[in-house]
Amino acid sequence: MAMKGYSRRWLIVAAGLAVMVLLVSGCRENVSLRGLVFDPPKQAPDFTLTDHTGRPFSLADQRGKVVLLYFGFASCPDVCPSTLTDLARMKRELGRDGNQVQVALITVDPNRDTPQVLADYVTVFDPSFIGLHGSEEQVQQLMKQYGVTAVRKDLPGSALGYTIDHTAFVHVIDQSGRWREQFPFGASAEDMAGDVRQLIRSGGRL
Amino acid sequence: MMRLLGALIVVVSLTLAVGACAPGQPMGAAGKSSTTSNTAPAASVGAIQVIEPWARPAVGGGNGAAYIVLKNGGAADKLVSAKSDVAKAVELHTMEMSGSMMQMRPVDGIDVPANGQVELKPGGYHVMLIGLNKELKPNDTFDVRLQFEKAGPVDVKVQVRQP
Repeated sequence: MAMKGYSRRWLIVAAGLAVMVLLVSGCRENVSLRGLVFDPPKQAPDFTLTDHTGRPFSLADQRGKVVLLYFGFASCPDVCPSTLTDLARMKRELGRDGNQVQVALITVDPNRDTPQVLADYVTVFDPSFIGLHGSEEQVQQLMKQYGVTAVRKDLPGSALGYTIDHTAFVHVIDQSGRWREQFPFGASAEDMAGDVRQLIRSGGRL
Repeated sequence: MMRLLGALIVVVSLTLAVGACAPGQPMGAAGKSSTTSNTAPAASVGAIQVIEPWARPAVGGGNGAAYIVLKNGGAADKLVSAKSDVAKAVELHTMEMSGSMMQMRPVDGIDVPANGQVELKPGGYHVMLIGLNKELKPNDTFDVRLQFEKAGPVDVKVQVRQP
């Protein structure tokens, strides 16, 4: 009888421990990321484009860094600067961890956005930001792979000539080249910094 | 005693799990709320007060955007145009989200409701500066003339700053 009561107590303790292990391990995967999370993560489509200094930039060379990819264009005065300003703020917020982050803008307006235009545009936000340029075909293919839509819209009567309607997500690619999540327009610098910091601190194991 | 210990473990683990799993705050929708409406006006014309005009830093030759809050203590009016030497062309634009597509469009004017206000802010209405004649650096200022349908023109100094 005494023996029976003893083992029952241990059973309760064991059950408690089991519950703890289950609960804590069960929520480790992804749950804490705050963007639109891919679960499971996808392999980010690789690409090689030309950066704003004229050098080739390939995603595969960025292993070990968290890459934040944004499709935009330099004559975009409102949405793109809002997002790039938030990304710059995110980078400042990360402090030293910010060295393990690369922000890159891929232009969806390759005709107007020459490397020089891109250089002037992206470095206003942060000197480490990179503007990426490719042929129209390359960019079109990448847009398809990343689920980005960008459509030229003529604006008769406007000095702009045309604008580009576009989806404005920030794509988050981890140190192993996995596409982890997307942030919609308006995501805060704090939310983005929080997620990037988690990815950095977990060393890609998150 | 053991039962108590078991219960304690369950409680602690639940707390840990909830803490670790709790979903974050919902992400802010496009456009952050503004707290500028109590700021002293930078200029006023008729019943309209022009509050805190600002613009993002931008490169010369590129495009920029200026933002303001227009507060109206009188009858409905409309901002019909903006002019400035800072850029080759100045237009009034809006930004709309259609699905997940961001669409920028010129507008004929921006209504300023009677006894109310309209905010020109990132992700919404803005004064679009096309072909900047100079770089806009933080703390720079430049002049813009706003033209209202009823209240008439008013000159404002726009400050360049990070949002």
